[in-house]
Amino acid sequence: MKYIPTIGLEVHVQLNTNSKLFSTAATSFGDDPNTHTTAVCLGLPGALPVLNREAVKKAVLAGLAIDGTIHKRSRFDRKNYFYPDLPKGYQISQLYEPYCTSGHLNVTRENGETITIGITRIHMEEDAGKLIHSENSAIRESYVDLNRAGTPLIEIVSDPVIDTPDDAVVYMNTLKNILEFIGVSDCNMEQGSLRVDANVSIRPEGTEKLGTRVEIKNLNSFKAMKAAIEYEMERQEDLIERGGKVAQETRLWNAATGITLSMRSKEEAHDYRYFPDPDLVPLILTDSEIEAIRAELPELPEQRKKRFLSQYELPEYDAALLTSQRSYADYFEAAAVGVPPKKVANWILSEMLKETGERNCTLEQLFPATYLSDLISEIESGRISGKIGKQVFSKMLENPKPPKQIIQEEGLVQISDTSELEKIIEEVIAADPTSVEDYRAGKERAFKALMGQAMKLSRGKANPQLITELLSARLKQDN
Amino acid sequence: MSVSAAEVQRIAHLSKLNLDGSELEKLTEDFNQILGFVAQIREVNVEGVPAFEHALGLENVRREDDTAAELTHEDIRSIAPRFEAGYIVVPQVIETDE
Repeated sequence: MKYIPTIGLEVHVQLNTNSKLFSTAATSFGDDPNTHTTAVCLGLPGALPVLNREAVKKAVLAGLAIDGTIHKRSRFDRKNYFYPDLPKGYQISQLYEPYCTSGHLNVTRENGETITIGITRIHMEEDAGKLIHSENSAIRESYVDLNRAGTPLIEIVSDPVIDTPDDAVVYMNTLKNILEFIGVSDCNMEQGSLRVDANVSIRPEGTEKLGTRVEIKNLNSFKAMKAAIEYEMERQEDLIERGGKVAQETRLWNAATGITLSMRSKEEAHDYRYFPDPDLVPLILTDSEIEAIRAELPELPEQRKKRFLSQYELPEYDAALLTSQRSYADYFEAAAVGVPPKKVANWILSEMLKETGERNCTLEQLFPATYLSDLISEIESGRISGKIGKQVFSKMLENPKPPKQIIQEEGLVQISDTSELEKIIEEVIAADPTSVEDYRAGKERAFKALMGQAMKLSRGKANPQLITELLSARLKQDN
Repeated sequence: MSVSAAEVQRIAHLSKLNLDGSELEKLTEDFNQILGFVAQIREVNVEGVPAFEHALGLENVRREDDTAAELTHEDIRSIAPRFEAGYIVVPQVIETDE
């Protein structure tokens, strides 16, 4: 029997605020453990949570960016469970009245086809702390760091409508890109500011009712997510084919072994006994507040791509790639000032992205965008040839200096002085009489050899067009 | 409305409490008395009365995104059961079956 998978994704996004969602402790990553907490983070008796205005604003921005309905009224609930990373014994979340519902994302598959994936809801909640487990299994203890506890999160829940692991990847790429464009999160999977859990079920082809879903956690990259979904589809199919039943459970992906394992500790804890948090009052957003936030919504990737097509007259491919990450688009626009935009796109797409990939860094970290536009204008003005331009570019990668400075220091200015070029030509002719004779005897190829020698002698600096003309004229003369 | 001993046992389990037989019996009785007491509220006619949402009747309490004084390691050490090398130490947490 053939089975159809259904995938839903739950994405946790850390909002990049200064302070935590309900406490004045700083949000941080990589600082010494337990250095950013207050009585609220630790759930000490009498501590009162107070909602962070900026977190609400960023959450609403995200809701607007996915075309969601922003609710004027929402509320916070307690999700109760015991775990050492949660000192209060409950997580503050929004179950009953989330601030945003019914959004969607238009995503474009690799073959160019665009599909719409619904987003059920987005709610605000607080992050938990971090647990470190002893590597020595004989030491039966764990270590708690509460710096992360209380960091503002939004959880973006897709409709269970994603059909393939590949669509799940495209959805994640699109969502991450939008969140980066609107600047509400760093979206760094390695640092955990973007996390994804996948709900996977399968059902026999031709049937409507969704199968029992399994939630997969510990997906540290989009690659891991894809592999875990594929594994889970196969596991469930095998199970059903052998007459078994899929249990509704949470499973952890193990990247090293490439399998998912049941998470025993959470199974019995599924009774979260949600109830409205009496410490927090309802959140009311007025129309004018929502509209003021909407006015701050920056250009989204799709809009920016359209503008790149019209304003810079870039090809579709270039515009799509340059808007696939906000940092690319920003760099491009910073460099495309006073120089042909297509040239800027070419340098970024065919030379620079290779380099950022190898070094795992940003474009800006290679060298500032102004250096790129300076380099292009040096080439466009004819001060250096395209070939020398590549040399200057390599030097800029080795040691980021303004291209003008490199050209000057290395003496790379193109030679367009006729008398200087003629001197070079005389030298070449004197050194290689055979090629000269060959050329005069009608062997066109010999011209190329002479050109090559002339360029070499000038160390690549000869103005190629000018020296071609001069050489050709000289060879037409007798001796 | 009443709860059975099994339900009380489950609630105790979720609350990480171990109850012995007599405690369970006593607590089940207490639970049911409390529920019975609260059940009186059902006798009140609430026709047309809007839902009671919050004891304070406030809404929209928000603060600016500013940081303020944080707890020090000494503060945490004084209240944590065990605190070593900057971490709160707890019994090992096991995450998977294997």
